[in-house]
Amino acid sequence: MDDLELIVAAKQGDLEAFNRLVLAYQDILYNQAYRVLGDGDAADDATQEAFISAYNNLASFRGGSFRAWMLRIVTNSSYDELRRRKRRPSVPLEPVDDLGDEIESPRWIADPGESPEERTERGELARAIQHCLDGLPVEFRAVISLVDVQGLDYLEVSEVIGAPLGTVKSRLARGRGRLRDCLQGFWELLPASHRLESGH
Amino acid sequence: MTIRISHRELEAISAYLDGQLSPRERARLESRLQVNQDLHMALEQLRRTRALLRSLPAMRAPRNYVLTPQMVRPRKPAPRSYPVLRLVSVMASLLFALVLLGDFLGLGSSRALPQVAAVREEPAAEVMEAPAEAGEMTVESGAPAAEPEEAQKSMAAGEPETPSPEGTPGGLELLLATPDAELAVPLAPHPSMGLHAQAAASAQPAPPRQAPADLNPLRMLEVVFGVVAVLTGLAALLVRRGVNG
Repeated sequence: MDDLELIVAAKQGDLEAFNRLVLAYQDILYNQAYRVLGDGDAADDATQEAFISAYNNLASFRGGSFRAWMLRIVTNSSYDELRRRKRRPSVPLEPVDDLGDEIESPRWIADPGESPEERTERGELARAIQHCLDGLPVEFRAVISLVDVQGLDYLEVSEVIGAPLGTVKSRLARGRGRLRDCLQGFWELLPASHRLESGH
Repeated sequence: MTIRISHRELEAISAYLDGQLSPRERARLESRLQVNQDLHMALEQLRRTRALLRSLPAMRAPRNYVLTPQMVRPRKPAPRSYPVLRLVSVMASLLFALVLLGDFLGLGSSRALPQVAAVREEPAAEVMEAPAEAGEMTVESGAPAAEPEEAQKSMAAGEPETPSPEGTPGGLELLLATPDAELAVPLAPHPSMGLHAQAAASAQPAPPRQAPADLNPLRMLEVVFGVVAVLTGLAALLVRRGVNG
């Protein structure tokens, strides 16, 4: 069964058919939630909520890109999760030191649970990028993730976030510009091919 | 070092990297890139930033997110009464709107005539001054002779006149109650009536007109359709909520 057949069956209440869609899309949705939220637990909750919401509102899916429709739902559930965690913070999304001050240094990026061998260059770079993403406004993060991580084109992103094309272009450019500035602080982590050589 | 470029330039090079510029915009930017070193350097920085983002490893979901029946609302089919209730509610709303519109346009304005007459009514003291004129009026308008006499008697006694099923005793009032005379009589009395007609009109005591106005059929329909629309709408909502849980 392809996606369309599964969607039709799920619309008629076939939970098994919907769960096959869940298995096909869960990595995509978790990825988006993680890039927007920057936290595994929060992304986990947002992804689960997104699938529940998608099932309950499946009747509102009128065709088109199911992937874009699902990404819209998970992006919105990520916004909701972010608001919920801001209202009732349990675990800080940003690392803090013993005095409760936010740590801006790249030192925190290294997971203390990992051995030095495990801290591969790739892993550290990924954490550095995520750290810079986390410093962006959430609307910028969502657009950057949709374009540069999920690989959507501008028109699809416009549909997902429900904003005009000009807004997509603007948020993407400003987000990338800020990321460029932030990543220059992680010079030593960047592979030679990616170093932004102008200033160093 | 960060190259300082305008927001417009940043947006242009970002869209350029994604191939989102029109051929004209693209040609213009490329010609500027050849002469503007800062812009060229900013383009390279953004290109590498974009490449870094795209090098991020795809994350695997830490678990399966399959749903269980307990996690979702059971999807029961809507009961058959739901579409019926919804249809009735919509139809009643439409009829209510139509009747209301008709009421505003004055289609059921027979109740307006008693109101006009009521405006012209005078206190009972003035009624006492013109009993004879009232008598003349009844003759001209061809009303039964016995009724004006009764009216005179009741007026002479200073009692307010009560409406009877046959119409009011006064000749002019009789015309007022006649559909053919609805528009002409109260506002423009026949010239032959002269001042007598006006006097007669003013001579009529104040009848209690509220009860007929309230029983206007349009009003009744408005109430009926409004109530049906609200009740069936609420019933449909309750049925739907019952389904969705």
